[in-house]
Amino acid sequence: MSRLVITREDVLALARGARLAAPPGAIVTERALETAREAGVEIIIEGGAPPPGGGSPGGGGSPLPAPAAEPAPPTAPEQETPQPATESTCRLIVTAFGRNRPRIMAELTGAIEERHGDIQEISQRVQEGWFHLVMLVDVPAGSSVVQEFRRALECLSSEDDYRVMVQHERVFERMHRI
Amino acid sequence: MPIFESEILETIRMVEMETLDIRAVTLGVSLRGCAHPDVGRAAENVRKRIVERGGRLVEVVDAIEADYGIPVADRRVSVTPIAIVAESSETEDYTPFAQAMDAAAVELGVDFIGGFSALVEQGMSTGDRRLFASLPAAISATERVCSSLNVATTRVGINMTAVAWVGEIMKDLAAKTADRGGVGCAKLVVFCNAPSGNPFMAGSFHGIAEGDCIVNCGVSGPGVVRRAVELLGADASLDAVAECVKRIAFKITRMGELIGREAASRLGVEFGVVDLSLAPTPTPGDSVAAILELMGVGRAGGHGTTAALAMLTDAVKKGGAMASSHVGGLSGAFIPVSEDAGMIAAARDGTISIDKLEAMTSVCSVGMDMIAVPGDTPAATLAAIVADECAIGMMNNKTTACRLIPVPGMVAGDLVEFGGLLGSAPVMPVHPSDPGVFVQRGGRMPAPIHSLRN
Repeated sequence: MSRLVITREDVLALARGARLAAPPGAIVTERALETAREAGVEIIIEGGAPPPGGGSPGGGGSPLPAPAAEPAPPTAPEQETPQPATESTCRLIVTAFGRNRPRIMAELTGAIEERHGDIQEISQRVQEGWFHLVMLVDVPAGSSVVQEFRRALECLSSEDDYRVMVQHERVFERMHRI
Repeated sequence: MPIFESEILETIRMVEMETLDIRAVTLGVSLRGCAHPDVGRAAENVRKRIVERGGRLVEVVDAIEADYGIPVADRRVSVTPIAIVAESSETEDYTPFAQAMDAAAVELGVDFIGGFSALVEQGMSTGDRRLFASLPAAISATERVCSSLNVATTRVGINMTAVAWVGEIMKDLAAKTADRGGVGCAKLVVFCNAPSGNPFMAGSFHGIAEGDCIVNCGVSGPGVVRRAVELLGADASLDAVAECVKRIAFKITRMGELIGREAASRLGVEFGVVDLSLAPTPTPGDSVAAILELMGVGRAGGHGTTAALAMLTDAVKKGGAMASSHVGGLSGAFIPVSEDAGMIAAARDGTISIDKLEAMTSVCSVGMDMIAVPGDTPAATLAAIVADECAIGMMNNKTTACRLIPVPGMVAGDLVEFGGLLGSAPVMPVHPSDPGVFVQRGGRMPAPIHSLRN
């Protein structure tokens, strides 16, 4: 399994601002990436995404598929049991909790819609001024899409307001089902 | 089957409030084939092999962490015991191999790399002897390299010649890192019955019977177990407590298996084992001592502690074994003194002593871990502590280990700060009697008989 490995030395050998084109499948080490950032060297994997970001199989930095731009319903009291995620989608579980105030649901669903998420189910409780909500959201499959989605939602969190967390559905399936 | 909201919230609470995480994803790399008569060439082969096989480790684990939304604390690498790899090289000093491992770890962005190791339970070959002789210099000259020595097994007995040497090595290593509280000794683990699939540092190495490359995953979660036991209250019977711990262990291990298998699949290598070990950290609440105290033993180290720890370790193993097809490593409960806020407190007020710790290691998953002793402790006394610990492992057919730090310039009652996950340790007194003659006899203590048990 001999593959080309790009190390810090390879990056240091280049001039500032240079581009390093590596063949497909090449491995770029963490130190090489760090040094490339410092030295302003751009590393490009031919036929793939620039590292890091789309590194995992199936991710690949491909452009986002066209959004299934259906505005999500704010609540879904009579919703049917959600269908399993398809191969082209990935199901995430969005959890939020904090002190209740107006517009929280709008902020969350707005961010989900902006990132092409498709809400499958929502459950929300408010008690003594505090709320928690759980949403099942399908997003287009792919590592970079999921990571982008997570960043967009988690940055709505703030210490004195509410917290948002995004996890893959498989974490819960594994933990609670045999 | 749909997932219930209560289940989702339970998982979220574990991660957010009870510090559940995947403690380590460790890539085991075989260095067989790296040997060369020229030490420079051999060390370069080692560095290249680790970088080639582990080049994507950090990138892949970062991506999994982001995709699944589950924190992964450490990314680490372990390699074939260096004593085996280096034996063909014509050199007495194995420091270049440690430096090659260190350079590879820096290149990959991993904080620790394990495998500057030797397996000497039955005897020592030339490579083993050279590794022992090089160990203090090699570990003190590097930042990220960890070392482990297997000096005993149930099947062959205890190599007391090696144990005596280990005492000298600990003293030398502490002296060479005296400016940092003798922290070099925190990177040296001496084992009886060492498991090869252990993903936890400092005792991780890639076993000689393993394939080219393997991913092992370590999961922790003392905070989760502590909270569950707390919720049960003081009225619950021990059956209920054991059942509760087992269920929690099952859930945590399932998560470890998911992440470990995903990492193996994305890296294109075999998946090894999940190691579910309640590994405490200095973070408040993330403490094994706190679980024992909630079970009702008073202060950790008080009477009843060994019994409580036995039940805890067993329940963790039972839950873990059900959750994964390959559970391995050290699985159980760790009781490192410096890394557990409850153990530190118990050691400071004198409830827990080195003798009680030794008794506890007969039922915990590892052994006398991260114990600071006075700087003037003789090498023979350190070796005798190791021998005692090996005897417990050998007779009980379990893994035991010692990570002792004779802190230079410190006496019993002082507090040494190691920082980070290594925490801080109160220096504990050792017995003043001299075991020199026993230790210096050397030779091999025969393996025990396993019929006629009582």
